[in-house]
Amino acid sequence: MLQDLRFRLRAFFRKDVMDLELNEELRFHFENEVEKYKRAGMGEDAARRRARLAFGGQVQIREDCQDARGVSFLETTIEDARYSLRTMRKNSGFFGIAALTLALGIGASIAVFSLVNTILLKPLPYPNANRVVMLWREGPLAGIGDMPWAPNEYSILARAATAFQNLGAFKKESFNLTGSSSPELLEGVRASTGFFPALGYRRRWDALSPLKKTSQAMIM
Amino acid sequence: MTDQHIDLPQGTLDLLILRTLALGPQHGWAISERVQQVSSDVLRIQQGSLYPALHRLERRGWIKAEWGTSENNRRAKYYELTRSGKKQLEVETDSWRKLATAVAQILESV
Repeated sequence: MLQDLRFRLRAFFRKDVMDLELNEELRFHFENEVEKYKRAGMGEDAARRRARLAFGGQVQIREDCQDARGVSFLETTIEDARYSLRTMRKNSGFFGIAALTLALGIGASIAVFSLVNTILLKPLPYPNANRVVMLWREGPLAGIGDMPWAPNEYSILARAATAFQNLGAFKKESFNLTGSSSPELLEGVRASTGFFPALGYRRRWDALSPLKKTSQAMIM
Repeated sequence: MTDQHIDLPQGTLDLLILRTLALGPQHGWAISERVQQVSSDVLRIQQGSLYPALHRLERRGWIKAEWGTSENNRRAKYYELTRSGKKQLEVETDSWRKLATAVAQILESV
């Protein structure tokens, strides 16, 4: 195994040396063949012709030897890559458009995926996020759903509901932040006391640490 | 020149090379000459198959090559059987004997 790898590496990186060695080896064989025919009584020319006939195609032998060394796959791949690069350089306009198309395609895919990943795939950053639900009110007679709760409806629900460990309500609201510089409008929610326990935090201060990472949080 | 030599069956070339090298280090030409002589001119290894086979055997680690000087004072590549090559020779000799016996049995039974 190791021997095989060592041989292949040498065959690949010292290709020219290996080729030279093979040439010398084949020439040695050829000369010996010629000698043999001369000893058998042939003239120099006849012996050479005869040896050449017996020898067959040198190019073929060389290729077969390269195959036997087990590097031809690597060599062909590198040749192909070189050819592609040459072609690219020649048709740089076409290559530019192709590369741009690829870049835009990959970029768009990444953008869409990161969006989908944050919104749909990644679990919400709460403990037991899979047990947190949001309740909506329905008006079956009017045929409308996904309605928010009125404050008095919520207090009835909160008293009656037994299926939930904690129940909390929130209402979207914006706040003014004033200080030494110009005031700023902050978007947020006003939440009931049950809100943080419902999200899985025992005390509302516990909620601060994960929220700080994603956005600015303010607890009133 | 009579045309009495036959083509080598697949896979026997390796065996013949290993067997020839078991006698001692040899260069490619000597291997093909020896096989031809010992087989009374029946078997001939074409250069086109000999050298690829030598490279293949070397890659497998069954033989190793070293440059040396030939009888006629020229640089030649000598091949030598390695230890795993000796083991391989035993394995291949064994399986060749089995094959030859089996084929002979079938030929004689009919």
